[in-house]
Amino acid sequence: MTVGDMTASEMAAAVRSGGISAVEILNASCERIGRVDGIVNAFTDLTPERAAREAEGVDAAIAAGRDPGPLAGVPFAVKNLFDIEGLPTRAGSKINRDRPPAEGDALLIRRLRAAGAVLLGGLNMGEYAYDFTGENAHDGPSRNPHDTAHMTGGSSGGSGAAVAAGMVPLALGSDTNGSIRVPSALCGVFGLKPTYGRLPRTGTFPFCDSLDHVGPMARSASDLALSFDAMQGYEASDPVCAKKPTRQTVSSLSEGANGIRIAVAGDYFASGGASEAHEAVVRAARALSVRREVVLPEAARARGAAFVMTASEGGSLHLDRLRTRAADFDPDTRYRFLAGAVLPAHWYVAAQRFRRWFHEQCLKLFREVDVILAPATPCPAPERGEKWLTVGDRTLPLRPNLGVFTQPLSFAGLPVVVAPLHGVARLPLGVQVVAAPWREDMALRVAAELESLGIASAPVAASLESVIGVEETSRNG
Amino acid sequence: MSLDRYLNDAAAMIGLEIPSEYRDEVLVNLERIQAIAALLLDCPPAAQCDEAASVFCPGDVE
Repeated sequence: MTVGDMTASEMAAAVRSGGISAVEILNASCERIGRVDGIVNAFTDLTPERAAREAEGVDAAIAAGRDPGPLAGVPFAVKNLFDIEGLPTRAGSKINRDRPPAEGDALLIRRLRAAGAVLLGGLNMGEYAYDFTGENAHDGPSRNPHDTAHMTGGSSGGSGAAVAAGMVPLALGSDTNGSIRVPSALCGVFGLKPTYGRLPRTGTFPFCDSLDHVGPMARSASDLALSFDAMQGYEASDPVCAKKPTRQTVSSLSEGANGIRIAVAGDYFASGGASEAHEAVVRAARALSVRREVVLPEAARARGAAFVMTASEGGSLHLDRLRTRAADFDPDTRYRFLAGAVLPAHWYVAAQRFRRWFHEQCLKLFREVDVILAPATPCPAPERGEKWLTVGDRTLPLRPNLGVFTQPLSFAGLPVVVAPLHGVARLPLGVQVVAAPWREDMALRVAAELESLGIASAPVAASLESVIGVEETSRNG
Repeated sequence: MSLDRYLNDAAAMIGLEIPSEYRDEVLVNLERIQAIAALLLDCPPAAQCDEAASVFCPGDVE
């Protein structure tokens, strides 16, 4: 097994036991990035000098007999809306590059660092996170490691690509309407969107405060749990962060789905996608012996309400930039932000009122079941540049509709793990494992069960090796 | 009121200039949001709450 094939848990265990040093792992990751990133375009900023210092610190701690932390020596990278000390927080935009460098790291970077992880840089993303494709006019599109002619999904597209390409085993993303879950599904990696308010967003560039979440992407459920546990904890500087006790998840993973009441989401979630998207849910449900179906009422309206809130809050957030620098926006976000800026307040308030009702219905449902399965995206990764999504006899704009199954769930703030399935279609697909608020542990246990049953997996993209071979051959003449 | 006129008036109200070369695309997006909002605004009374989800918490003096 190469370092690039190792999960974060395997790396940390190897470093902690002295089987390999943090510096050796870092060097292997840097070498992999050097070979692969020109192809997938995941990184926008590399921080190898500070990473070297951090890795040396981990090795020094081990040599001195100190505990280096549960993520000892694990290289990670973050969507470039997370503050990285010394770099402007670009949030996928051209405009933010004029901002002064961040004076410190985002809180979740600091928490991962405290657990022994090693920061390797910032990752490509859709501009200001208003994106489901992973395309970006300023930095170029991130490319899907399983087929570079296809999208990564977004907006955490670089995060999905970096993990699927084996450059880092762990990345952070943000998810307002599906921006962790869509690229996790399309790149075939595991992703966790925690409960709204669970992880503090301190030191991240916002998009839509009422819906913004942050969370990890990785190549196993146990890696999600390991990093999630290291990042939990109340933080007063994020007014949304809940003052609730943390719930550690690693310790319960081995219990699998035992005793968890699971159902499949029917109605809205049972149609509207390509047949493979729904087949992925059928396969997961069959493996878990799930026969029950439940309905989240008014999911289409929930999606609509999330759409209105996002447009309105996003347009308002960027109003000054729209007034002064509209030409510097990515055309794929510019017009949506401009439209969002002029929406009537009544629509926005109606969406917030509906949110309370929908949330109450979800809570009622979770008195009957513990976990619900739903498709993550309506299709596998479309080709880059594609603007339309055809499902059956319907052709819809692709950009807003890639999140059709993720938006209602984040609207209710529910924790969701994406479990990636390979082999249902030529490119990966994902199943959303949805739990009641604050029960990330249950979603992670079910995802781990799917992994142990051989249904879900996140191998490093094998097809990338042939692309690397072609590139190296042409470079060598 | 037409969407076109609404865009003019609402943008003027908040001091936002919509350059003419952007106008058609902004209208396409406004129309898309309007269609989605219509679904929300047609919500049956049973699926409505009087109060919004977000609640402002005044907090405590430390």
